[in-house]
Amino acid sequence: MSERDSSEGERPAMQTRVLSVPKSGAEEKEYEDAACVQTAAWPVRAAVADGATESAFARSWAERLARGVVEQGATPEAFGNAVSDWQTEWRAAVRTRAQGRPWYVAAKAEEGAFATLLGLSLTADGQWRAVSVGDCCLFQVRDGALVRSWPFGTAEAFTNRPALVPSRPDQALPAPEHASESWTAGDGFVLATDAVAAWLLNPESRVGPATAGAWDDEQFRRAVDRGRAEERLRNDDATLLVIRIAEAEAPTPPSMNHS
Amino acid sequence: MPYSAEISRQQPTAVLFLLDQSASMQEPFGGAEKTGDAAPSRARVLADTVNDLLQNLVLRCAKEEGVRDYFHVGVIGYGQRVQRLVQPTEEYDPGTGLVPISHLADRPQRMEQRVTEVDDGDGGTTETRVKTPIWFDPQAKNGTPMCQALDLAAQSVRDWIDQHPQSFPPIVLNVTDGEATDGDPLRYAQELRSFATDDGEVLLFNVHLSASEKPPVELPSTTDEVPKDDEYAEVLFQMSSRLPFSMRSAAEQEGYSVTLDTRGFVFNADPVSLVTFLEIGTRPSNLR
Repeated sequence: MSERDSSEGERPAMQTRVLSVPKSGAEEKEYEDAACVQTAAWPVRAAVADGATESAFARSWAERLARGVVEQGATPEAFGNAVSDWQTEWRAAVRTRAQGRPWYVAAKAEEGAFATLLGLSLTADGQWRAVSVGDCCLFQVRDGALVRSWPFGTAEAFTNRPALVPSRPDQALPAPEHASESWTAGDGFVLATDAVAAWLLNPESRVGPATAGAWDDEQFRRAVDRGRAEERLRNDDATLLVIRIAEAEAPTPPSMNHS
Repeated sequence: MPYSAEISRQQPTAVLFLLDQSASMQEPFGGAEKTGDAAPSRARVLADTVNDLLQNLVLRCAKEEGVRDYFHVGVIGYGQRVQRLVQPTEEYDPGTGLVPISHLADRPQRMEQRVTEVDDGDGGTTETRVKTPIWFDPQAKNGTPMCQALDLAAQSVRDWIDQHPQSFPPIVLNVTDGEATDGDPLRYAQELRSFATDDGEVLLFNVHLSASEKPPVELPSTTDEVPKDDEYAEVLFQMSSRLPFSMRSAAEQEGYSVTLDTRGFVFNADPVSLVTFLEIGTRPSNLR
């Protein structure tokens, strides 16, 4: 099933924010998560991706995936149709970057990169769809409460061995998971990479997806520092992509869009 | 929980290989005679395996901007003499005999051209030449001074631990095809394993290379699993550390059944079980 949207021209009323903190002990340039969002027109699309640390060029693969989902749509079909083009484009780019570098840089370029990925699309008819490979997580928040946590519902569900999207076409591509549900005016969505998602789901953390949806950059950074100091937040790149739908933005009933 | 320290550039771990270079290593693996004269010697297979493993360790730490020092690495050979097969450079010698992996990456003894298959982007493969680093060559001469090698390893890890008291403890991987000719290695192994960081005692794993056609005994949990008629197998079992949690997981992923008592020990290893075990033994935990 593809994304339907028939309210072209109506500008979605929502705010978005990307919050990120690199892993402790690493520099900003070593951050390997990615986030991408477009809200200029329906369907609104957002994605986060998490490049695997043992890959080189992991950030550029995570960025390519997140951008790809925002361009093509958050469905398993769109992902399946586009991923080989993203792989080809990425390989050409990193081979160029590896030329003339030491042996291990060239070897890493050939080895390829891996990343987890989660994409979300919101259509004007009040539906959302999401697609995921790995352990990024989507939270839907309403009236200050968590109404949906997907694909994981508890902190214990996270492991150290998530499914990963490979950059190499000869490596097995995991089947993406997908979900769909409805949204309503005033809802918030939080897309999180794995460490921060597991932390937000842990009842002992004293923070949760609803609080996270209201954080600004500084509040996020302070919360992350505290979570790491308390050893409740694993030391990893931490990324949140927050979408807040305006209260006034009522979903347009599909029947009104068929004129 | 012991053996849970995060491995980072601020808090690296150490991996030290002890490689038997005695005369018997000139022989091929057990059962290989049947495959003809071309069977490579155990020394050749071991050198190739460890060079490949060092390459893989470098690649686990390599990023576009360079190699991150998650590991400090040493290779000690024991045969005609006990010697370090990789050396720190004069300008960067931490005094432990262990080399930060970025320095290892930048200073192989030589690069060899090898032909390998890579994907051609069209779902097929194409042959390409890649440069492969070689840090040391096989040697096989004289006896098996394992006790001296364990003693040199103990000096290295003791000094290294002084510099990295909070790190995941050093991992020592000893690969041999015969009995020590210079004493009781169990005593030296116990001394080596008595050094500890805040995260746990030094890990010593042993791989015995096969001279027979018997199937390998991999990752035993009790002495009942090792050959009863072989006193030496019992000694190597006693010398070997139990696998910490992260390596038990890695072993399970490779299809082994493990318990809390599983030892990092392979008896009668063939080339495949040698490679598999060294991969498990060098997976301390996730790199950060």
